[in-house]
Amino acid sequence: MTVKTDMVRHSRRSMLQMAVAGSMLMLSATAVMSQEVTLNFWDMVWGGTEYPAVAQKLVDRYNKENPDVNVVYRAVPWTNWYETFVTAVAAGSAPDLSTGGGYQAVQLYSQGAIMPVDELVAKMNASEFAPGTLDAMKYDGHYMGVPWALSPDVLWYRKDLLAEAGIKVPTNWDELRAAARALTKDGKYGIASSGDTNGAHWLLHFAVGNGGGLFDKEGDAAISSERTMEAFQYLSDLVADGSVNPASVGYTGADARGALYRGEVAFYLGTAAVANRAGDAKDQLGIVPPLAGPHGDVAGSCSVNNIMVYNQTQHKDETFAFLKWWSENALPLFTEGMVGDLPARVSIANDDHFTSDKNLTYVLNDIVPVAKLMSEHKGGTFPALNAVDGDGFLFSLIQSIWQGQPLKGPAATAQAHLEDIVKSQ
Amino acid sequence: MTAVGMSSEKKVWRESARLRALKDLSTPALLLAPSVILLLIVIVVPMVQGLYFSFTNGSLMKAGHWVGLENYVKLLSSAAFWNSLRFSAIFAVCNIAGCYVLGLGIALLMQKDMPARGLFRVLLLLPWIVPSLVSIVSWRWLVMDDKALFNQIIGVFGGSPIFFLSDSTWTITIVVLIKIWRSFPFMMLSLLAALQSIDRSLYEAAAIDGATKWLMECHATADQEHLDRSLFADDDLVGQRLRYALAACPRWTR
Repeated sequence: MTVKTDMVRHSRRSMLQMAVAGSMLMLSATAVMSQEVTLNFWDMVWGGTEYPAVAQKLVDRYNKENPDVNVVYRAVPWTNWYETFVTAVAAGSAPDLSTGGGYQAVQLYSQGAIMPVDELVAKMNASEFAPGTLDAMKYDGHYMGVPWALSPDVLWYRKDLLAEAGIKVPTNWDELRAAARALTKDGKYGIASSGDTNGAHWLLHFAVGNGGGLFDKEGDAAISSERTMEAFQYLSDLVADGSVNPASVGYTGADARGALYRGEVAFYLGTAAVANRAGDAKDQLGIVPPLAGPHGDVAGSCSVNNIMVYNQTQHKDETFAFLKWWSENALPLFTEGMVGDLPARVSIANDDHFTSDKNLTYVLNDIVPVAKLMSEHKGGTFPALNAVDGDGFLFSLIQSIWQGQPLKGPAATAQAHLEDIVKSQ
Repeated sequence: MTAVGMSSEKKVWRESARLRALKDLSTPALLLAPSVILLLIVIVVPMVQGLYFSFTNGSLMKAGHWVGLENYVKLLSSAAFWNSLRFSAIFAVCNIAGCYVLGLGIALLMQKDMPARGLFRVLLLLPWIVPSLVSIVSWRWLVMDDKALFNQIIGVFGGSPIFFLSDSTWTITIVVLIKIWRSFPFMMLSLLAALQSIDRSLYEAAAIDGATKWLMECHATADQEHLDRSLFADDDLVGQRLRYALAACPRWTR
């Protein structure tokens, strides 16, 4: 009886000890779990359909290497991208960090939503990035984001069409105009573009390429400036020559690119990756060197895409650490994710993937160094740029030009609209 | 005394009648309340808020401040606004008229006894059934440029290519036509259902009175109020416009 009582007592004590031990274990597990930091990373779809999966794989790798941090990846489509971010910020549900439009960071910063990354940039070496790209992030004495990709405009041509017509690759505006006119025959056109973003790039490419631009040194609207209007008149002249496929107004960028791939058009302004997506037509595509304008300027346009951090983040250090890692380890996004842009990081640009591709090497070595940004003349970045990027008034202007309308009216409307944008910032 | 008594009796009666009326109203009011409150929250409040925002210079991120009629002045002096309004008017009128004419015409045809009528009815519904994305992409391929199918057909007949999506007039025309193509099956189906519910004795009476076929159709579609009501009871834009269309239809009288 005594033995039994002792056993019962012993058993009760053991149970109690086990319960306490279990509770301690639970508590410590909860403590460990509560230490895990969750970061929300919103990333635009920068490449082909494979891009989100490749990016997710990269995030998984980071999560595996950093068990105390859980990065949640979300691929954001480009449709209504600006509204997506603005609504999230306004609703207090912004991510910790994101990629986005080239000038999104500065506009959101002006509205108090973006955290400058000065602290992180101070730990980096400027030489790790393509020249000028870090400066392109500067506004109000702060860095708005970390550059991760360059998007230069590249003028492509069909080697076979030029060879058949015995035309040399143009080196200046006059030669391009003459070549486009000569190649417009037998149902084929010298140039094809579109009424969307791709068309707007023609405006910017030739305006900054001619020493003009959308803004002056003070950041005021400069569409009506002499050099810019000269560039737009050049585009109008191409249309008047009949060299631009009339379907360009209703084309999307992909339609115009398809026409290039099918050999229905000789020249097309696109990204650096146009040839790599051309399939069998790849060997028929060549790059037109940066063209000299009527005043001898040799330039083109480029934009710098970046990663930004939001003020709503509760985990600044972890966010900065992930941003740095992502920036340094982005190679698979280009090699497997088919990103159309080029890396802003020199170490990634030096990878075989780029150095073994003569087109990409040419763009990196010969086009990027002479390319100018939309902020040309004022420099850096500023909020009006994002409004221009997301507004669409340049689409209206290029559609009017591709339709062959007289330039004066649409250009004046665009100038007035840009003045409104600058005034409202 | 009697007068005072009567007056007080009247008062009591009136008071009880008022209470009865209030009581009668309270049940439906209570039943309606959830819906009314919900509608106020999801429709009226945002509408009033939107109206207020239209007088401010705020954005999604910033509240902004009162600017009076400035936004309206800017809007009304914008060429783009008037252009959009013009296009919306053309689009709405042509779409409604086109859908109705085509829908009614085919509905009348489908009502007749004809071989493979069921098959035709199904085929004619296809534009409505096909997902929007698929049909719009398909239409783009048909009219996109000089190599598109429509231009190939025009070329066969010796015509020059038409850049449907580049010329303003052609763009409006093709967009309206595509919309009519997508929407007429619904109109056809609804009209066909209503036409089939018309009492055949009306046609017999009309035939006896010597009415032509055309007059009989007009009579049937215009005079049958139940057709109007059954089709467009939702009082939408299409319904309202069609009422006018039906009213304008020539009437057959004895």
